[in-house]
Amino acid sequence: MKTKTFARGGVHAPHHKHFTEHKSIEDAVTPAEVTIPLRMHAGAPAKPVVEVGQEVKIGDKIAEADGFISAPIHATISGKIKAIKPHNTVVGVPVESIVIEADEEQPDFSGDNIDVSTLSNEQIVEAVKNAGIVGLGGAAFPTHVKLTPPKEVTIDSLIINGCECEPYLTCDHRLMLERADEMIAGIKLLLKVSGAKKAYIGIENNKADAIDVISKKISNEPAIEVVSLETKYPQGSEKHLIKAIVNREVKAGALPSSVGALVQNVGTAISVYEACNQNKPLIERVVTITGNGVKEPKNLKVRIGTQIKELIEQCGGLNDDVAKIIVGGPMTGFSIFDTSIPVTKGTSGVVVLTSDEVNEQVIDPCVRCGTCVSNCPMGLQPLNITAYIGLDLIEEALDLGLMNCIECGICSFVCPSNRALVQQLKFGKSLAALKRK
Amino acid sequence: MDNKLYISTSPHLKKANTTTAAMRDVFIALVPAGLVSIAFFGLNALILILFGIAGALGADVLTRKLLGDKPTINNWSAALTGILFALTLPPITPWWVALAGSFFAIAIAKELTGGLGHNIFNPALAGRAFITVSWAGLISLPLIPFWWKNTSFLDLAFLKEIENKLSVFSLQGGALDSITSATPLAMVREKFAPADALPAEYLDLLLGSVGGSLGETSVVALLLGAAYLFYKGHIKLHVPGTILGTVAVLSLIMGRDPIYDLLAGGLILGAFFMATDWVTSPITRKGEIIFALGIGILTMLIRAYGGYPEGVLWAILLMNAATPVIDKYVQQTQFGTAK
Repeated sequence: MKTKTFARGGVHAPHHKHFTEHKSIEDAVTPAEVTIPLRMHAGAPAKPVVEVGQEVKIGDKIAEADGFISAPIHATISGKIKAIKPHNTVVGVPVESIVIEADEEQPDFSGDNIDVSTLSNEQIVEAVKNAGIVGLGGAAFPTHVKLTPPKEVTIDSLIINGCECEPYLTCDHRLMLERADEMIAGIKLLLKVSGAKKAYIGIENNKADAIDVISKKISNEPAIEVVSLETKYPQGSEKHLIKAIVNREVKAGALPSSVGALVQNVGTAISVYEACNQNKPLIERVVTITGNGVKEPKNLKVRIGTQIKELIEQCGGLNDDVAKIIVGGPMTGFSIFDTSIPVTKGTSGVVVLTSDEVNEQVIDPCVRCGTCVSNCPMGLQPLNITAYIGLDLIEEALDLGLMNCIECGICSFVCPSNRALVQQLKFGKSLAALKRK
Repeated sequence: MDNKLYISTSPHLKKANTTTAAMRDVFIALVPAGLVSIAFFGLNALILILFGIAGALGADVLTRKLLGDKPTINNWSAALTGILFALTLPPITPWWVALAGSFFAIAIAKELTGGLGHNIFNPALAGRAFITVSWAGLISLPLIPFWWKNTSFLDLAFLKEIENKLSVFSLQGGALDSITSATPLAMVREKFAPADALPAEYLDLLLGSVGGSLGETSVVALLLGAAYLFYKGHIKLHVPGTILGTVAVLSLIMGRDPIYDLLAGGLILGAFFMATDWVTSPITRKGEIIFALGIGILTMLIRAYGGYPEGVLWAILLMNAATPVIDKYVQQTQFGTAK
């Protein structure tokens, strides 16, 4: 199988997946309490439909979507609503959250067993919407919105993102190996509802076993194809995935639908199937807890709302030398100081770094080496854009393409002077947003 | 939890490359050429290299102290300028000229123009230009190395006489004025005038037994260093390649000897170690190729029609000046913006 890639930029980062790539997904211990933020998806936060003291069963809706670009939220355990109050989240800002205290009895979610081939497109979208499915790759964009583009848009290519290009993370890899059948069933549903002619499952070639397993399973599916991709960060970025697989460039500021493409994460595809087959809402997801700072790295299937500290406990606890705890992947994730932060729909991993793995950020002057320029997957010049931002010349920074930055972090990663490039780009974007107000 | 945790925004991983390590690697890459020059030119070469480095380090410490900053000699950038500058010197250069030149290179051409990352001109070449203009007479006399094969085109006895009169620490101005230039390139230029001047054999140029500056002699030693830098990923080959290619093509067109033009006059040193300098060359690949083309063309124009046999020096300095303009006007197509 030929290996495809995107032409410009990108970096071959050490992928550190050996900790967990061969470990099967384990069920996490059902927590005694869950804290579910009302905003854990792109768009408007959900609005609570329960009150303190109310009894809920696993899967019950506890918050409804607020508008079209929003998603409902469901109880991830059976119990009593203990509180509705602000709680710390990864971005360091408290978010209104629903706290549920668990009952003694914890039944598993039991749904129907619907024959999904009988469902109409409208029924599929409705099931996805009611289940609160959002993109599980990390962006947490409400899936039903992606599945209902404007009438003038035609989707011809469905792309399933099995890249998992972030170092350390292996949850998607394990899902492809262990739940391939459900993933393929979900892909077929997505094909139907999107109207796409072909589905491409893009998998980075450091997951040769997954490429092998999936290829065999779809050998009789003419509409589905596995594409082997070069292991190069950020291959899993939506725009770069589309470029590599169907060779189309999404224009700056436009959506993938503008080039006839629809991208969905492998985990999302499985959730779509579960929503259609069992009416199962999004109440759990796989999280990779890994790194040299944790004693027993694992891939755990976790109820949303479980606190990070409980996951770490189930992985043997922290080692003595721990310097950074990251929620998400190490290139785009958030470093935290409070491990009571809950797992949300978009939490893909917990990476714990030791003191010699942490970058102390001693910054040297820019030596104009151009490494950030040649490695930037969007063709930008970070050294110049950040120079403008540093001088508060935001218009000039925007002219150089500031808003085209996908915040992948490669520029900071490769800079020999250890300059905080993407950090300053992110800051510049917020300055630009302030100026627009 | 008792641990103190680091909080920062992503990314949380860093590739292990640093500017300091890169500078140190370039310094290391120049050591073979330095050793070869000492082997051929003896104590003079060693003294020039040491004074070159000392002047650069001293300038870093003193200038930065005057500016209220801490010294940055630990980043190897000054030491690198020092050795690079020393390699552009003819072995006859007085020690104090080397000291003045390398001091100028760091103090004026680097620190006082904004420091690391902000200088327009390659500091080593700026230093070389400074001493060329200031003390031309002192540095255009060749020193014949301790063994020499092809003596038919040189009056060896005459030059030996001059050599005996000179020592590293004193000079006789009178005798020097009458000898203009006799480096191999000058001799090629003379070729079209005096009939008995012959170019040195190519092998001599490759191995280092030719008169000239310390770094222009052993091409093999320089290419070894360049290979090390390429292996380490500090240089790419499109800049040196374009320079050498342009020089070769133009040399052919002009009816000169292209192999000679490639091997002599510090072209290899300039192409692999000066034109690849990060700070003073463009930041885009397209820009770097334009930069390299300019260096090749200017080098040949200066060699053919100008008065300086070592045209590479001036060609690179002129293209350093053009770099900001190149960077301003060479556009990159951003992802998703192609028409």
